[in-house]
Amino acid sequence: MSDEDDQVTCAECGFENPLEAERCQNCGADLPAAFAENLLAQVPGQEPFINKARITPAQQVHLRLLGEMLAVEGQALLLGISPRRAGYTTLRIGTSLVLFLVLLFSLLANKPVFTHPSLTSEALEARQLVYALTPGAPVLFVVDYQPGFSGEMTRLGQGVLAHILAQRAYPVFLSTHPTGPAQAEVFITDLGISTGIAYLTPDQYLNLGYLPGGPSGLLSFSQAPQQVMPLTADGNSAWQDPPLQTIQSLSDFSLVLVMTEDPDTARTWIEQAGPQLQGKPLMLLLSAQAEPSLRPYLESGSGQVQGMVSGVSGGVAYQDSAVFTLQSDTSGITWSAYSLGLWVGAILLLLAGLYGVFRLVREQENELSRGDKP
Amino acid sequence: MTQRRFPIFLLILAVAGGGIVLMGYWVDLPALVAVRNVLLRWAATLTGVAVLLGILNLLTVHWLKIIQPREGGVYSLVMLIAFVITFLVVAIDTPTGSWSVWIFRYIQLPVETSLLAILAVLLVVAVARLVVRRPDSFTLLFIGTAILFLVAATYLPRFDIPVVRSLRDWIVQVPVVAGARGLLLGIGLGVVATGLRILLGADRPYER
Repeated sequence: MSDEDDQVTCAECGFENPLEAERCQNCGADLPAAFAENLLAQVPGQEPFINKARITPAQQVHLRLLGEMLAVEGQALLLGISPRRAGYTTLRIGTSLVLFLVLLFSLLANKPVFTHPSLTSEALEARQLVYALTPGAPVLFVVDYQPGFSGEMTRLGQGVLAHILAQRAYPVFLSTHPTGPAQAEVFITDLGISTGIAYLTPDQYLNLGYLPGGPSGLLSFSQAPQQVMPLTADGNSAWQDPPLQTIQSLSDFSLVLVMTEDPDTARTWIEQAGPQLQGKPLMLLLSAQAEPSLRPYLESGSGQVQGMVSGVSGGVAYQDSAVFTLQSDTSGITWSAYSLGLWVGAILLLLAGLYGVFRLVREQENELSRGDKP
Repeated sequence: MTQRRFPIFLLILAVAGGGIVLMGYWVDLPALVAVRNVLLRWAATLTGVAVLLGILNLLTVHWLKIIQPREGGVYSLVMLIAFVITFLVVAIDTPTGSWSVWIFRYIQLPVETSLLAILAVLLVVAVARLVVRRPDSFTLLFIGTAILFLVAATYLPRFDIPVVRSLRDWIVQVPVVAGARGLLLGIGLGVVATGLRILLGADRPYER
């Protein structure tokens, strides 16, 4: 520690006083109180500094609070439910029931009520990219979403994958999430169930599995895919199939397609893998929540992203617009259930808002009436 | 003396590694690119090892909770049993084997999807609480925007109001994109600043 650290500066005149001084030796002003000993003695590695630290009373209060917070960290806290919160429990159960029953009714009624959305311009570009694929063209299909989002992402991506397979292209699945390999298998199997076509045999696609390393791993894979991921997810040699023997870098894929709900994941792919594509198209399949954050890449005109399909609405529109048909096409029913759920959610939000305003007005009236009484 | 030299060694290692990877973008020297590629592959491997260390740490924490009985220890036991079963199944059956996919499809997927589904319910309840506790113009603006986005995302025949959809599109394509661009620029500048601080040795996260 330097000599400066062993001195305390007077806030009034700026004079450097010895550490043990209680008053300024120049102007006599009070110096900050010495640090209470052992206040943070439990913080490992900080003892030498604590013993020499000088802090104000306000800082001591903050440190005590920090100490108390550290002390309770790791302790199981029992959550007591106040009578006020018990009312919200009823509200929670009621809301759940309403949403559940409405969705169940919509699915059981089996009647499409809502009109399907139309294809957006960026989804149209995405469709053109898939149409341009030739038979046997290798397509890197990145399955990078959390399992919780599979409801939305499956509905979003099924039409696109079915279109890729209809073009007789060769999808190669990859994920930077540990659950990605299983997620891709479920995605493929569900598509097989939807189409009823048995063309999804293991020799018609490849699952490379999990790519570790975040941005570094991704950049590394972009430059030398065969070296970084030599094996498939099930441990076999990955690059022996004819469509993949010529793959030396990411630019050897005809199309790279990233399917994610996380803007950061998509951003990493755009920024790390994008420069290695050398003009080959990068297409995004995005959850509705990620679309606004990534739209600048699409609209910048730089060609970083050349096609985008987003949300359940994008998936339904894509499926409607393609030339293929899914054997068990349930998009009409699920779209109606989804739309009805959104409407009910909007109505519940409106009711919640009205309830809040009503309650506020009633409380103010009660206060006024109490104020009028002698 | 060794203790004083070790951080300097780490500093040199970090600056040299970062510098080589960075220079690989600008200087097209085959040797430099080869070294950069090796460093990147090491980083990917080390990240995989870090995940393993994280798992080991998690297991240790839960094991300690079991052998030193305390409240909630039974959850740790369940966690350890689930981990062992999943680990064995995935290790033997491979990550894409039928048993592994079964565990994923019928256990992990429903659990995580259900947790996310609760969000819809929590949102409504949270809005009710928000209005009761903070009934101001910002709350009303939030509720109005949320309702607008929910309604405009659907297409109900005869009830389709073009103005609502246009308003929603304008919000998404103008203010939201402007905000997103600002965030992306901020992230980019932050990454540059952090990278420079590490390359110049001002930030030394490896010493902690």
